[in-house]
Amino acid sequence: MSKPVFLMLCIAFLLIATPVNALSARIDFHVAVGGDDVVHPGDEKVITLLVENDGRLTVVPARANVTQLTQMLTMVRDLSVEIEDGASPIKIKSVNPQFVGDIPAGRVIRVNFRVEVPLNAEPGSYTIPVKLKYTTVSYDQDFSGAYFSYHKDLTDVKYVTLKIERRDYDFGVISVRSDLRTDQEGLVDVIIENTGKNDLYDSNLILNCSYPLRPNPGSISAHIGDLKSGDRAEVRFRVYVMDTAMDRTYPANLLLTFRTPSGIERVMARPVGLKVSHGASFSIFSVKSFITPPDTIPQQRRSPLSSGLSSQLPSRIQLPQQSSPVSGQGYAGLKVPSRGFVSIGIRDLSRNVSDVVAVLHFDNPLIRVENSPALGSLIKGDVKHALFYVTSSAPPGKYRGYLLLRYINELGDEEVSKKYYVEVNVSPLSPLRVESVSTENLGVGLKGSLAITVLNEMNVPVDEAVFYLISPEPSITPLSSSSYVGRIDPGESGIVRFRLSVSDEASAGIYSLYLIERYNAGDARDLVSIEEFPVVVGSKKVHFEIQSIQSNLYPDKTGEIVMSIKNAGDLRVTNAVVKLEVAPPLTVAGGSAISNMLGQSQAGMYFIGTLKPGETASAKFRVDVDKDAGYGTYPVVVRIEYYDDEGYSHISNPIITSVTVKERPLITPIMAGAIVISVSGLILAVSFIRKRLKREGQN
Amino acid sequence: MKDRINPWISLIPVIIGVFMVMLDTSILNIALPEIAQDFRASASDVQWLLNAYLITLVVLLITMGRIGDMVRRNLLYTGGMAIFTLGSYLCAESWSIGAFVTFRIVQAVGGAILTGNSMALITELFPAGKRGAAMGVQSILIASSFALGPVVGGWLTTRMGWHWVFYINVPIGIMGVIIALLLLPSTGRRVREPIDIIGLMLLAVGLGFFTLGIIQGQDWGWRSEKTMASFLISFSYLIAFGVREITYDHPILDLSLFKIRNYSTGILSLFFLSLGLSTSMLLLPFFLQGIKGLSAEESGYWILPLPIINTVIAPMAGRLSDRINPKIIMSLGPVFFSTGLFLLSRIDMDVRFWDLIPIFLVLGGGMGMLMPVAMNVMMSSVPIHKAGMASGTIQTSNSLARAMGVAFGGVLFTGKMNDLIPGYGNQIPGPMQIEFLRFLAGKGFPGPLVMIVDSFMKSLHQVFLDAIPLVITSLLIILLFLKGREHLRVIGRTEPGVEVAA
Repeated sequence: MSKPVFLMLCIAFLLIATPVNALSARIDFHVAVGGDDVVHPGDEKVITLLVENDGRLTVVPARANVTQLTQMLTMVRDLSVEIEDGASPIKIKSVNPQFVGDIPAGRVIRVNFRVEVPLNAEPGSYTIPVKLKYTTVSYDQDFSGAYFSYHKDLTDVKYVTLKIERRDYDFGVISVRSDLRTDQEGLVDVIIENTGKNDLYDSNLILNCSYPLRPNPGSISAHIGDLKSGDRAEVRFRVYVMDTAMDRTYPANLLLTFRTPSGIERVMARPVGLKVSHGASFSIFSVKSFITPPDTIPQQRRSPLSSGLSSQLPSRIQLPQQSSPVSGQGYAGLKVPSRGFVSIGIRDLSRNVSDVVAVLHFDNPLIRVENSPALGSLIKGDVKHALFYVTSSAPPGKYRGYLLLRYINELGDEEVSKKYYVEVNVSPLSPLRVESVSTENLGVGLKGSLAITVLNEMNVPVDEAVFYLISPEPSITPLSSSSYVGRIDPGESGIVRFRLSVSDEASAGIYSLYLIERYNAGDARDLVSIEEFPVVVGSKKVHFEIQSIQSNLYPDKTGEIVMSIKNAGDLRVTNAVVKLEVAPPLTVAGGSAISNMLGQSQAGMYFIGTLKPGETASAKFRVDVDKDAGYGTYPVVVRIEYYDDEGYSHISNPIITSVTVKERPLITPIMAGAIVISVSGLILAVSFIRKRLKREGQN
Repeated sequence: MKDRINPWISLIPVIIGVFMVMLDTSILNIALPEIAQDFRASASDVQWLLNAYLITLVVLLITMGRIGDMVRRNLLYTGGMAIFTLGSYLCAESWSIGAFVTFRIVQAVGGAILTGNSMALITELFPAGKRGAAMGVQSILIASSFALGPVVGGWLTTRMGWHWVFYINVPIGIMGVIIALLLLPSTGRRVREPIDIIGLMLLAVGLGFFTLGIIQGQDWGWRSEKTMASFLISFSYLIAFGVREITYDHPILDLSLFKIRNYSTGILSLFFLSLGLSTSMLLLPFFLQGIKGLSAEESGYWILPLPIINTVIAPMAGRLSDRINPKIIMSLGPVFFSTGLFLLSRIDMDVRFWDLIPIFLVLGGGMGMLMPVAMNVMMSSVPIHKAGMASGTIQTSNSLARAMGVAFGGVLFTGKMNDLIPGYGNQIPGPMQIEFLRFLAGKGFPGPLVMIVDSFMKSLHQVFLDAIPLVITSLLIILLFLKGREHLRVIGRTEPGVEVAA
């Protein structure tokens, strides 16, 4: 036998003698990028990896029935494919690793990965390891039998190459910052970068968004100019968000128009998301109100009150120009409004604003807000209280108003917030209630005192309380129209005092007077409320009578008038002075040169002192009678000025009486004396003549 | 020795005496308010300081003049100066209004001696035909005192007090007494005649009550019983006095003097001129001090042109009256004066000092032309032994005319004021009242001031116009009754000391 034959027989013997008890395959993969292996900075795309199972048997059995066995042994089972991060700037966005499953040998599967290329990724070629993890099966047979072995967690790493290349013209959105809220205009700040290879010339950036977002037409586009490759630009847009917007991110597009170096106009777009917050900027809390009802003071048409009343009331209380007539009674009513306050707490929920002014408004025109407090600047989380003073002519009840906040936003623009509705209550009762009323010496024709006890029914003290007394009755006149009480603690009373004058034309009885209360309560200043209360006027208590009057008046002489005056009333009067007023041709003796010069007579005065009820006193006056005065009766007027027991002065009504100027007797003592002296002179003359004649006769 | 002294030298003590008395009349008016305040006296009490003086003066003028005829006039004049000086001193030292009034009477006695004998002394010192200039000098003094009184009185009262209004007379009076003793020659005849005491009493009562009625009539009322009683008594006693003078052998006032035509004419014309003068001039101080708001001193300065021109005109007129027919000069006097009054009736409240100068020049010229000439004519026409009587009568007539003029002017003025302001009263608004009305106007009440000032000016104008007929009456009297050539004849025939047949 030859050697070759011997070798073949050996081999055949080995093959025949060798039992088929260990079969395995050699697994190998081929991985490649399917399609375009070029990515660009800023891209987010899907790359496909093609994975081929290049598994083979390491020993090929001669038996005819190993085909299935071969498939089993060469199949890769539970294959997972993983792209290892870190080897390149590319970021894997999808699931990594991805489970593929079983791949028979010779099959190619496609595995898709979503990748993102950062905008700042360096261009270049990157070798990316792809890790494959799989399981294989091996076959083994021995004397006991045949069995299969699974080999798990086998790995293999293959490499693929990806290229990062910049596009010719490209831009990336580096950041988008927005602070958008419903029903408001907000800012959107965008930073873009020229991520392309070439420069962009005359570029403009436009924000394109749709309902419910609306870009401010004044800021819908921005001219960036020339943007070199790699350079960034920052642009701000204003966007108004409709009140129907919801709390979500809305899509928008950034359009970049530019010109290529060759002059071709091109446009690129990038989608962005703009987040909108749905919610209020401010919230209100702690709404407190203090408003009392107004009152109507009746006034007679013939004696309008409003001109004098206005000067008595606090200046902030605006009276109607004309009183409102109440038909059928001959009286007109003068409505006096009250003054109260409304306090509202305001919290800034989200914004930094400045020059905040709070405006409160009531739908009912009877409630008028006097002020709009300025709250200054608010930052997120700040809490401030706005105090509004209101003038109310509204009857008791609940009323609705709303609060608006005017402010300057972060952009420097003036904005108005939405309406925040509030409810206030006009209380039917005045907080300073008239508890009791007492009078002294208040009768017809007298001046008396009035003391009103006022109770503080609030739970806060009342400070700087001033009370004004208004009398709609023309026969009752307040002599002191205001009274200062100062502080009244809660639950405590204060006494308010006034002086009143009652004319002689008044009748005794009960009259309604009005007390206007002005005070500070807590932080609120100059609150006003009105109370009506009754006052009792007694009957006439002081009355004088002239019981007799005697005079000796002659023309061109100074004469005397003596009168007897009786206190016919019920009160004692002190320091009484009787005043006599006369008219030409009578003048009170001793008048001043000026009054005489002007033809006006001064009143004569006579002190009679204290006069008890029923007592009588005499008063004497000297009166000059003009030389041209005729004989007859002339009127004179008598008044008595006196003090009551409290020390207040009063003056009585004028009492008109008369005096008589008598005819001068033909012969008065002076004339009689003159005649006697004259006659004596004539007698002397006659005697001289007689002596002379006698002497001449003797001669 | 004294008899050979130049009469112009001897005239010096006469001038001193006349000037003291004349100045005293107007100087005291300025001091009255302060005197009233000092004594806390009423206006009527203070007014008696003037009334007592005037009544005493009027009552004694004729008598003192007559006594001067009977004694040595120079000694009487010197004694009168001494009494006046003593009275002035006592007035300055007064401790009450009553004492003050009493001492004013003493002062008036001296004043009556001086005033009643001044023209008589001039007549005795200067011969006929040479008296005119001397009369002119006296006229200057009378006119000057009217203007200088407020100036001197205001200055003294303001700076030194009212007492010095009287104290100032003391050194002047003492000096005057000494000069009179040295320079006045022995004049007058020692006619031993009894003094008619009854006549004196009748005259005193008659003239006294007459003067009283005139000066108080405005206050009492012209129809009041006091006024009527005063006039009733005065008239009856003046009648009795007249009868006494006719029937008595040694009358105080020889009524035959009034038979001398030029004398009677002169007295009447001077009376009416004085009446018109005082009627109108009474209101000038009220206008200047009240309406114009000048002080008493300043108003005196404003009136100064009047005596200044009189100083120039009077001596010239007096001298001329001894050379030409005095009727011519005397006639011009009232013409000028009434022209001046007419011009015064046209002034308004804004008149300036320079606007008043020509008016005062006319007024002063008129006074200067009439007064000295009339005095010269009158004194030249009477016998020299009755010069004192004549002089006293002239001064009495002038004094009464001045008193009546004041009353008449007051009546006219207040009557017009009452027409314009019904019920006005009978006062002339003084400076204090006007000042008070100005104060009221400043406080927002201008009505009374406007009313009073407007009425004042209208009444003032009316008084000036109403005074003109009085002055014209003087002119008519001169034209109708004065015999100018008679005066020339008289002075052409007389020498000093030679009697002229009565």
